[in-house]
Amino acid sequence: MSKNDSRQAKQLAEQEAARRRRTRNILIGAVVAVVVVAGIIAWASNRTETDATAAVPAGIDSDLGVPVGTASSPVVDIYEDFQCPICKTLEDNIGQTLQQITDNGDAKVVYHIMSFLDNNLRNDSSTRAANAAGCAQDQGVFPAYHAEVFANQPVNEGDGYTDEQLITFGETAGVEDMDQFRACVTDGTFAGWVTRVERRAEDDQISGTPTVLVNGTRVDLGQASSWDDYINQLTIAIQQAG
Amino acid sequence: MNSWIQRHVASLPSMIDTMMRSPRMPWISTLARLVLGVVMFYAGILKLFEPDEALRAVQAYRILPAAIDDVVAFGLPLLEAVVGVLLLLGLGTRLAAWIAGGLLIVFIAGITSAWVRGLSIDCGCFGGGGDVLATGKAWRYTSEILRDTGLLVLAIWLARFPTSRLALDRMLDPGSLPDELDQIDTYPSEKHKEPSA
Repeated sequence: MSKNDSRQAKQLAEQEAARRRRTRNILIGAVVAVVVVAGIIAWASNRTETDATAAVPAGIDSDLGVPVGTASSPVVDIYEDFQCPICKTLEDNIGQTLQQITDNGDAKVVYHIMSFLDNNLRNDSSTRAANAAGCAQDQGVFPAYHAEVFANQPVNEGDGYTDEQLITFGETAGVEDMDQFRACVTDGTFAGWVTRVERRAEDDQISGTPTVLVNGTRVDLGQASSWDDYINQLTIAIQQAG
Repeated sequence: MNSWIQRHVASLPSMIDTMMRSPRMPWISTLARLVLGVVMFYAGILKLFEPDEALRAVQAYRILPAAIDDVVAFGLPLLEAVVGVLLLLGLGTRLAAWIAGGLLIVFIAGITSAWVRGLSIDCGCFGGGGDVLATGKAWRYTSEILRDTGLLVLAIWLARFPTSRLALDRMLDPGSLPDELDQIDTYPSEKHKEPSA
């Protein structure tokens, strides 16, 4: 083989290699583009839509939470999901304390009823129960209704609530216009509000329930040694904030 | 006894050398590629189909500011899915392995950081995520870190030995792996390269 031939062969081989590299890069680009587009579609179509014009219950705060009590400050924000077992435990243990706090006007307690457990538990009970709580708020009996739902939380997480149960809770909580309440529960009148509350909580970096904030500062359950200790910490936090 | 150990330790380099030359090597890389690819793709897809959960999972780590957590909750799963597909196809394997390795280091660091800070969260590795009960926390974190470390080993292997069977890379560049496996005398193929003129 002459020197010329060898150089030519080498050139050809290099061209061939460059051609393959190009093909490969184009192919990589195409695959990446397809996956990215498919990913964006999957993401966008599964992201919960929020409707800013959705109906909201009477008397809720500008941050979409349900305020309880006559005080205006300090503010105790409570994030709960009606299907969350620890939220029930929290209510069982500090519910009375919270009621005293609001009754005495020591603080304003704002409930943010979240609904993300529907995703984890593969049902829609959190959303329906939150909507029903909105219906109760609309008729001025949110505190009693809220207590009633937690008192009747299914023992088995994930069993959820039936519409009939949610309506009966309203009766017990003292709803006056039961026809309106029934329609509100079955129609999901405040479902759009429930979604907005959930999104709002996400935007505020609330990643789990129950979460309790006093004037924006987390009072962490994980840091308490007992419920008495927790109530103590909460009371101190409220005193300091007030 | 001692001489027995010595003999075997002495023969270790040649054993590794034999293993490297083995025609089975590309198949080991294929296996690593498929395992890592399936896990990455699955993890990414699950999160892309559950964006609300993915966002909560990212927030639960309490590392990122609110402004960018949604970008990460979307971007990380997308990157996982892309890398997973590339690995499954065996396309751009080395680059994909590097990125997968980088992601896994970030994940391990994130989980470790949550653990060290005393948080009790679900890593949200395969969807889900968020704050969870402290029950079984130590084992949960340990197993998550062990799993990611195992995957990291696969990624490092692939970054080192990206040439594998059943890969698009190979179809596009058959020269990198001779068809007659029996004729392989040296592997990896880089050693075949002619010195440049």
